[in-house]
Amino acid sequence: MPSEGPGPPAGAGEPATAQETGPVPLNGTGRRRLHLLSPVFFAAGHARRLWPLALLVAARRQFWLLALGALVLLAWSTVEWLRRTYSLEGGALRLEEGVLARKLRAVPFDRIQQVDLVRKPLHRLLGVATLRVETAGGGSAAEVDLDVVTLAEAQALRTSLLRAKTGTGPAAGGQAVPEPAAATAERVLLRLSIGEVMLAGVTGTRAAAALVVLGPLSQAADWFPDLSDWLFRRFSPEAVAPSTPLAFLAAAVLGVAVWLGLAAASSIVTDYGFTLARVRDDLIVRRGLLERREAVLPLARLQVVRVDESLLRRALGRASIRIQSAGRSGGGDQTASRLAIPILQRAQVNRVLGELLPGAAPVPRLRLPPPAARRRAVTRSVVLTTLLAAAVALALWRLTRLGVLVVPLAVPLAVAFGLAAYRSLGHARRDGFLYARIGVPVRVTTVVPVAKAQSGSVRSSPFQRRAGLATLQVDVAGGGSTPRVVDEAETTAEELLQVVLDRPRV
Amino acid sequence: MSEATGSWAAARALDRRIVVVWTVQEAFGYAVLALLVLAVDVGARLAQLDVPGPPGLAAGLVAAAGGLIAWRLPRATYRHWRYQVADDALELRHGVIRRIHSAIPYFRVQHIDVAQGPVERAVGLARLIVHTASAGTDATIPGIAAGEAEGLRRLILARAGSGDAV
Repeated sequence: MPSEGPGPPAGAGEPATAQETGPVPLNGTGRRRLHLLSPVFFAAGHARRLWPLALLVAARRQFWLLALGALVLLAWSTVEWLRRTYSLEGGALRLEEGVLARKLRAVPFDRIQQVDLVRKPLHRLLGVATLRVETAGGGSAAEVDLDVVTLAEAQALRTSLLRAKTGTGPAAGGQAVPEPAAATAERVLLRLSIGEVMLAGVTGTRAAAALVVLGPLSQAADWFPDLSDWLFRRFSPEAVAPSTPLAFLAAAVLGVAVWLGLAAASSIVTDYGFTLARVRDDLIVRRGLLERREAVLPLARLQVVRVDESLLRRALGRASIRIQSAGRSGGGDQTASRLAIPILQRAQVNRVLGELLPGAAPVPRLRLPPPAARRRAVTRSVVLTTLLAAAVALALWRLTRLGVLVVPLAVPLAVAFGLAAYRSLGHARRDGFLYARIGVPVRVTTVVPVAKAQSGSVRSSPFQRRAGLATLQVDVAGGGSTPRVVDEAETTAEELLQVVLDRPRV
Repeated sequence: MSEATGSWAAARALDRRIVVVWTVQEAFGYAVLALLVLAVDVGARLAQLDVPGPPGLAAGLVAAAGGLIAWRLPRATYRHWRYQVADDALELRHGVIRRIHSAIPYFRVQHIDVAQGPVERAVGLARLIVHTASAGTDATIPGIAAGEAEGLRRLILARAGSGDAV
């Protein structure tokens, strides 16, 4: 357990930002070493990779060999620590490392996308942190980890790096200019209570994930053959197996409770104390029960915001928000999950959106595509459902001919689904923002700042062309899915493409 | 093709030789597929499985259909391919079944690759691949005469200017 104990949500027990410590001068810091405890973390990292070997040695009871191995590892890590230095020089973060082969990595300040502060339980116990610097581009080389530095140093470094990249930093080599307190003060935009976090887990994709975990657990009896024998000895089968309807109900309720409990618990582990805050032009996202994560994203690097509303969450008056930055496209998912807002009240969506993308809120009234799109949505749904139902009926043909009844039953449902799919479509444009909505049962509203569009295209399939429709695709940087305006009239789609190109309207 | 924007009169077609490249590529692909089908067919017969029809029928059908596609598709694709180097953006229109009109503003261009496959090299063509900060950008112009590709790249990069476009 962390030394501070659970504490109130939003990490009030920790120093909030770097305002307590002065920033690190951006030039001529000289080479610095990581924290004295770093070798321990290096060694732990190596040990994790070598665990099969360690297990083998332990199994042969050669504990002296194990101890020797640990000593060698620690010694090696110490040499690594001695040879690893970082410095802020010449407009870049420079990391030199390597015992045998020397390696120098330099990250220019203006290429930095995101600076994260990661604190695992052990880090929190020892008052240290890992500073993770992310740059644009692909591959693992896009990340520089300072593993580990003291918390104060990590925060000071982060402040300096972010200030340097926005160009408002102190002159190179100069002293830090004290800023007015108001400019550096942190403004909390959103803070989730533990109840909200649990609700996020229960109503989100985690519930499905928990089911996947529970499935194999029911097979546990196969892994431990003695378990069921032991259970049978303790409890007579007649007393345990549910026989009355009431007992069945009780068992079902218990199962559902365990399932949702798991989903809620997993949500708490990752998102406990979720806080979204703003310091100057940076967005700060803090979350986590055991491992505290603190992601900082310069708002200028924000590419797209997506508001997700599933049917269930809509009924509960909730939504969630995904934020896409221009980070790595390879590990984009990880970055995205660090920035996502797991749940918030629908009434808050516009307020938060306005902070993320100034001028984008409130979401305007969206325009439905032309009626041809409704016909297409319904036709598509009915055709697909009929094919599926026919396949099911055919598969059951040997058992029962009644399977054919599935087809007429499914058609009204398919029509309803098609109509709902049509109603979920829509787009709008206003003040340099493009809004696009799509999806049943999860309705996704995508907000793209037109200035962030890299390129665009209008695409049409033969079916769309026959109905005079087309789809606009807006290509943005970062790893998320491509924003689309689906099934709009062809002329509207072409017009929107001109908007994306930022051409004056004809 | 009906063009919404008037300036498409200045659009360029691809080099006609690209049809040869595509035909060879398609034909090669279908030939490999037909051979695979033939191998499975013969294998199944050797294993005494009950295969309908005379030997080689399936492979023959694949070869015939493939031959037809390899002849028709490249020509249709060629007819539908247009690109234009407009004032502010590179615009492409292509696609036989799925039509695509994409536009890439020059100032978003990060870098441009010129690539040549073995068949393209044999007929003296190259293709230009334009990259932006987005992985979704669809901007490959096939069928540029190898001598012109470098010039086109320079032209686009000159218009791209310099600066951080992320």
